[in-house]
Amino acid sequence: MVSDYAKYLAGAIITENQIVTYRLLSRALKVHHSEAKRMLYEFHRQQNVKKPGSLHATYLVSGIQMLTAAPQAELSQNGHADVPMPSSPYMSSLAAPGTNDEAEPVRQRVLTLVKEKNLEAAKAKYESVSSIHVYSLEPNAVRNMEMLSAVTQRIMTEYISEDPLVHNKTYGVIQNSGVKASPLYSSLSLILTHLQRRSGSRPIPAPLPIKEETKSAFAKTKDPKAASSDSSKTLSKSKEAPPGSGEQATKIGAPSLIKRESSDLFKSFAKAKPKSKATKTETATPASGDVHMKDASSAEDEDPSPLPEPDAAQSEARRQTRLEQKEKMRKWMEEEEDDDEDEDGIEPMQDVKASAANPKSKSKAEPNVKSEPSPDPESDGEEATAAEEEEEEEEAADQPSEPIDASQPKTSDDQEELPVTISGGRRRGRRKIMKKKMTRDAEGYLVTKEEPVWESFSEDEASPAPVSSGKTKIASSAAAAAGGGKAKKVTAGRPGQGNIMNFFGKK
Amino acid sequence: MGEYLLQAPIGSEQKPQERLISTYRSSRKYHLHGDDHKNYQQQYGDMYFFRLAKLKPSLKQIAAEDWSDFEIGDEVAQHKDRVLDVRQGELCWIIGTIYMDMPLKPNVLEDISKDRWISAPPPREKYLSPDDQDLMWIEDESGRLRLVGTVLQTIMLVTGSIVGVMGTENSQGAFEVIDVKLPDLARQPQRWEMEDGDATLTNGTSNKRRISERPGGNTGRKVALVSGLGITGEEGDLLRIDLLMEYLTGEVSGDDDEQAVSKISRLIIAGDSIGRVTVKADQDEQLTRKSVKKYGYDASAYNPAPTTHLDNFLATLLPSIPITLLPGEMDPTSVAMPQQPLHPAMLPRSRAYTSIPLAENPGWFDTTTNPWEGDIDGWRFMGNGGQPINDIFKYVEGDDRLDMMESVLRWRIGAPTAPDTLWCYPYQDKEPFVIEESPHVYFVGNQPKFETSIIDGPSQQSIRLIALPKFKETGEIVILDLDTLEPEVVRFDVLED
Repeated sequence: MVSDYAKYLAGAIITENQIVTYRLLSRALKVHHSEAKRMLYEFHRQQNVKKPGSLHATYLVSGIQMLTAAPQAELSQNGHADVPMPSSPYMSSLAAPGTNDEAEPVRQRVLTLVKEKNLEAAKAKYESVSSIHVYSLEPNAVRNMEMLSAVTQRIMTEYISEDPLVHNKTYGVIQNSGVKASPLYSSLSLILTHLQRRSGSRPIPAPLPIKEETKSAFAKTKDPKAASSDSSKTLSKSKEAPPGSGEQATKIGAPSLIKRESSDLFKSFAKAKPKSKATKTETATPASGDVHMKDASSAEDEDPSPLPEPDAAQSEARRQTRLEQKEKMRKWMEEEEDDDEDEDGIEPMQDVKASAANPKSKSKAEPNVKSEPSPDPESDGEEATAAEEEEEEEEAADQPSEPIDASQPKTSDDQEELPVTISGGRRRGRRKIMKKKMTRDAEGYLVTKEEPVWESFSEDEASPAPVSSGKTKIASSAAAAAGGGKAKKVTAGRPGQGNIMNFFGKK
Repeated sequence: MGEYLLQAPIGSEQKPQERLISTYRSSRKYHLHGDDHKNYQQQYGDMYFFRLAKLKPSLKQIAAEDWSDFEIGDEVAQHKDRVLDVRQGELCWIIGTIYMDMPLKPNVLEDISKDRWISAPPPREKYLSPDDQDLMWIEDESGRLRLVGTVLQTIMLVTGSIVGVMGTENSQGAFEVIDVKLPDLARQPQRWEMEDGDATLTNGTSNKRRISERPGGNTGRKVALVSGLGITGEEGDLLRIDLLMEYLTGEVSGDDDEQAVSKISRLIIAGDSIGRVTVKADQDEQLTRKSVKKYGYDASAYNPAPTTHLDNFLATLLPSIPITLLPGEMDPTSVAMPQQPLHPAMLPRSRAYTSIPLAENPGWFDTTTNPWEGDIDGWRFMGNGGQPINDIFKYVEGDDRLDMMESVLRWRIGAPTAPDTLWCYPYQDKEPFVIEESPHVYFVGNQPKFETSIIDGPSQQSIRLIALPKFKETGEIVILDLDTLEPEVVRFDVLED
């Protein structure tokens, strides 16, 4: 037990030459802040017994200071009796602010952060000291105290994924029973910040997992048999894959699990519903109702879908352990970064397999579609040409959001995140357009010039003609296949799209 | 002597403290919403009109009481309804709006005419001219009259304040002032008045419940006020903010501090959370760069560090303490008063604690307007990020911030110098800056130093004034006791060599 924190501190401070504050220690070892402060103290003491001066400590002193410096400073001002302090910023802690209790010495609570060599001097300033503790340990005396702030920044980035409402108790942060976070953002903001952090280093590797997963998801909804075969195929595929990508033959199960969960995640903000149970448990249960599930983090309240018995129980359990799930999800996200290379190896193969399997399952599914709550343009098996395939995938990604929106308006805010993830799969490009540019010339006249400008566009703006016609064709044929009422729903569900295509289409 | 933390780990479990909770409501008085409020086409004249119309009746009453039997020689002071009705040599009193004619005050028309010739002069610290060229006028809908007299030297007046003056017009056509009357403090609501009103409106049972919720005597609840965090994202300004953060979460320091901090039921940030960021790229370079279009945001033109740091600061505190965030002069929102709330989208981590847009109840994290009004534990709070007071400072002699704050309350106008020298939204159908109810606590952020006092009004009003120092310069925050309204300063210090 003793060696636990000593090991950590030795590793961090002595070996890796880092600064460790009590907050970092309490988070790293999941202990109360008071305990962390004592650990720092004890470690500092032990090390200095072994080798004096080997470690540097920064202390925090808290207590009451008496401030009597006021009167002199006041005279230099314009003689105001009740101005106890010069208006210029004071230097360090010598000059003293206070209340307007005139020249009387003012008692003020002061917290001072101080290097060990100045500790006694700092203590001398205090009327009474209520507590002293080690704030941080450093391998050498810090030249600039601001270095300590970098540790706080580090805590913020490293422990960003921790749920403060769960872990703060451990660290001894003052609890608040009244805290309320808007359910709209709570999970989303976490994901977002994670993505932001990631996107700094690497582009989001989204498209492939989405395609593969959504497709198999649809296959499953339509036909349990096709689903199980399909998912078992992908499963076996992913089991075969790791040896190809190398190293861990021992952890065959793990990478595929990670990968699948991460793609679930992406889908969750593309608003496609994960059929997470089947994939996660890798039992390939008939997942007829799964499409209605929201992802684990947002599925707290109601689940509109009639689930098969075992699934319902499972989801119940999951709801209860939601926080754990969140935690896991974050881990997956993190691990997923590491596993990216592996995935890249796996993905194409799976994709091929899945798309090969897809038309079959689709055509099988055809009669079933009518009973599905979500009309599915993809169910039109004959249209499966390569170019349209991609279109469909996008539609598929969009599609499942409709039932959710209808039943739970609350989630509609998620919509704004849609472009974030989809954008990976979107067609992007640059095109040359003529732009009018107005400038003022030397004599003050306005001159309008037309010049060619390269502009980037994405698919939700105007897309090139062939693509657009292909898309509308799909929509219409899907509509025809799905029948009157549903056809309307399909087009109504994607408002304005037809119009904008007409507008930009060739005349 | 507080050295219990200087020992070996004791391995015992420590129970975390539970924070006290105060009741809170936040007024939406200064929010601009709806299309009709986003229009900047209209003139400012309406604001002065409303101000005068709102304050005239009570001022008339005060003046009539005091001056109705005022005599000089045989002449009794008459009330004149319009400024233009004043006749030379007649003893009379009038009510109108003050206008300060100061040569050094920025002047829009002059600015425009000079625009093409010279670069703008640096902003002045004071508008007062050294050789007494400043003129004071009183005006109403009818016209304008110059005010003279020694009594004017003894009283603080700025453009936009509404006053009653008594005197006579002299042979030069100026009005010799004998006495001046201010509207004085507005009616002050009783503590818990809002809650009581609500309770009786809804039903009797909730009334009882609410009363039982109320602190009887000593609850010890407190509110922390801070302003001018001034986060720039540059090196070297974060350590004290970290200390503040750790203090408020109860982590830093010992058990007694933690005990005290757990009583702080809310943090109010009064403006300037973001500091002035030095602009590095020179103008020419920026102009040429504009022609190059970049996808997404241009990292060279936009520095996300300040808001990220602010977001982290807030997000660390929010699980433990609710926060009211007022913007200030430097914050990334509108510049015109009333400044609109900092948009939650800029604070991706903290926004989880905001309420849904346009929700009735304020969120746990209440990003709100500047100025702001609200009730905490039944006390009416009114505060701003400092601009109204900092602008008044330019009109008057000296640097007595408390005096200026007191004057604002006695003038009953929260931002009198708007729209003259303080940018503000051109309200068309109301004048929200008129103070219709006096607060119990009036705080102003970003003042040179911490100051406090209590002022009293004619009908037992009593207002606690708090001038908040800039945290970045002083490292000070103010803890206000909600039982006694006594403020206390806590300072954070970093002792370098």
